[in-house]
Amino acid sequence: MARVSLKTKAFRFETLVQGDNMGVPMLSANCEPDERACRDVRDRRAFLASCAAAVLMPWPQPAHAAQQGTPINWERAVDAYLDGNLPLAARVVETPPDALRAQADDTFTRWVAQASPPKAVPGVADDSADLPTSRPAGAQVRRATVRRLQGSAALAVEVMLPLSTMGGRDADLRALETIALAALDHAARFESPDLVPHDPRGRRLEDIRHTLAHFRARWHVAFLQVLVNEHRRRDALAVAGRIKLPPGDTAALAEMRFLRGLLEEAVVRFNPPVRRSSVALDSLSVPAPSSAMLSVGRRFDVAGDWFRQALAARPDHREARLHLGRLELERGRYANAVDMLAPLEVPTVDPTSRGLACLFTAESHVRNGSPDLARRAFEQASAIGAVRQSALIALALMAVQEGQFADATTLTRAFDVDGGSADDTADAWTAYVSGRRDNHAAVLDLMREVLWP
Amino acid sequence: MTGASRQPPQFRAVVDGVTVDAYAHQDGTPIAGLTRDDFMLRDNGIIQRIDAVGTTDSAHVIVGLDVSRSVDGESFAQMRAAVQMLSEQLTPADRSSLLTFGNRVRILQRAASPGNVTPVLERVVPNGSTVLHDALVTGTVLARADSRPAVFLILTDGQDTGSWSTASAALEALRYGHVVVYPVGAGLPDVPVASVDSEYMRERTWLAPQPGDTLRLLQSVAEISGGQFLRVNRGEPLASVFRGIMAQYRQRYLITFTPTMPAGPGWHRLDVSLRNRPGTVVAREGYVARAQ
Repeated sequence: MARVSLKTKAFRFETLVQGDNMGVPMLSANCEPDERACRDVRDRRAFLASCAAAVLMPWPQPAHAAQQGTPINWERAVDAYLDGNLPLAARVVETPPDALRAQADDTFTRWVAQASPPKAVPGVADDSADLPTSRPAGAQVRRATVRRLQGSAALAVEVMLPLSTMGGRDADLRALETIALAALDHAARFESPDLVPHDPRGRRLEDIRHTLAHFRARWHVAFLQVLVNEHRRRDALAVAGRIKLPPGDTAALAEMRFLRGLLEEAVVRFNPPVRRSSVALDSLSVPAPSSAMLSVGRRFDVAGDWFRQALAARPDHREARLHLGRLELERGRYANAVDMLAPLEVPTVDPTSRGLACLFTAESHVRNGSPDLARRAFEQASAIGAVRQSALIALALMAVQEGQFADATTLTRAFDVDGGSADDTADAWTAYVSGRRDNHAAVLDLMREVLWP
Repeated sequence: MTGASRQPPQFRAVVDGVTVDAYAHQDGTPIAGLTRDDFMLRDNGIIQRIDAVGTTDSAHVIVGLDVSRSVDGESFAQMRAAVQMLSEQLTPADRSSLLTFGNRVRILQRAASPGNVTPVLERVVPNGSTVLHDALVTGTVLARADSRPAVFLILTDGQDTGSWSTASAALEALRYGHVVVYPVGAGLPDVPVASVDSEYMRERTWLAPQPGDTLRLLQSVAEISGGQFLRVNRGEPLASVFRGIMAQYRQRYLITFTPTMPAGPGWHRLDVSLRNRPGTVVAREGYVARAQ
């Protein structure tokens, strides 16, 4: 009876979801009568989806491409994500935040109900022998549910990462944050010994629980990246304090330490720290940062210590090296900065890190009174598109100070636009000072590695 | 050790004629018809002989427009109309340059004959961050793309969000340059102006401006260059603001002098005033003489 009831409920629910999201365009429901306003909302949401898809692209693309023009519900998005169809999954942000939150909440309730043992009902015969939990199939259902819940948390953070770099996306971010944290809460139930999901690898109970916890820890590292992007220092510190990585997970440990450094550096540059709204983290109490009273230089040292620790965990962490090099420069340790950055100034390093390293080396030479070395390094940087504008501005400033205005004027010819076709992406330095990192995939890859099989 | 070797090294400064772009007014009303005998000019406190006084009938007019994400469609349309109107106000003797700054600085027009700028501006889509400092540096440099006296109108509705240049570097470039800057702040928050000693104005690395820092920067830009900082509220007609700036600029005098020796290298403070008559002179704070 209970089973029938469950099935019936699930069927009804699924019908509702289909009706809300497949048959009726969700965006229309939120549109004002004004046609232009409707179009703006649609365009904006489509834009968000395309932005999210852009950052998801590094994952291998499936053969089946995303179908355009069809709204997607949470369940379908998660299944698409787990299936590797990232462009389709990212389109979940086309749904307005409130509707998305409600949709995900209903979906989680249904998934968990399907995978949980029913409560005994007084007066009703115990037919538990037929229930999913006591059948071999029960563990399989739980396996699918755990995978979908983890997929929900993972998809949310994958979409949040690009959105958190844009500004003005608070409603979408708050909805996705709520969804992800709810998904993790639901998934935590399956760490209980009586609800263990089927493990295709046949591991022992302790190993299974360990793997589930490992996903949660690595998800939080990825979420920490979102909080850093939003300069939510208080929340970020709370999250970082709760991350319990298993011993030996040096890759995630290095990322976590790097993100702590990134957060501290951003806080110095944006002093006082920007307080942003939080959803579920507001209740966590974190002491006020003691570094707030320190000078800019001393606070850069706090950030530098975190980058140094990240490098201790993973000596090949390029971004930690880049930031530590910059902070050595900020602290007036120019020779250290040049030494620290030198390994990044080789062709095998990605252009952004290489370009910034050249810029910082050049700046070290400027401050150290070596204009010829500085000019050479700036010229090297100006050949790299990601930092070209900053390098040319730096060279122009040097020329101005030397009274060589003709040279400075010639340098600005690189800014001339012909037909409006010039590249308008932000210079890598602009992204650097905003506290955003270049390699988002680093934390996402770690999280994807430990998704339940 | 000889007596000569104990003396500090002597550097000769490279200074030919110095031209100072000055605005003379009495209670805001420009004073016309002044000659060189009406001005008194001090270079590092030493009164100088003025060689000539000219006018700003022909000028190199540089316009810098903030096209960051915060500029909405209506504001940008108004900006375009104001720039077009300004362009129509110029004469064939003038030259004009046009730059925009959002994620990057882009030069849309370089010391060109005044003409229709609407088509080129229509291709611009406001988006991204605000590299205000880099735009100030670029405008200062661009002023030298033509030999005419240069005036730089820079319009912004926000604060710097990631220039390579710091605020102090942008101001230093202005001290080396020779351009009168009229910063126009559109819809900037009504907060007290920050101190010149704020970390933002002082540090050699990029720090986000705090409330009041951008106002201080724009005021300093005007003071150093001898221009004027103007604030407009959202919705106020920009075209009339630009028209007012150009009307004032045309009333300015170009005072040329050859510094009397010794004119050492480095910063030279200038003080320009009127002789024997009431009124105020607004001019750049000084100039930098290079060591030979």
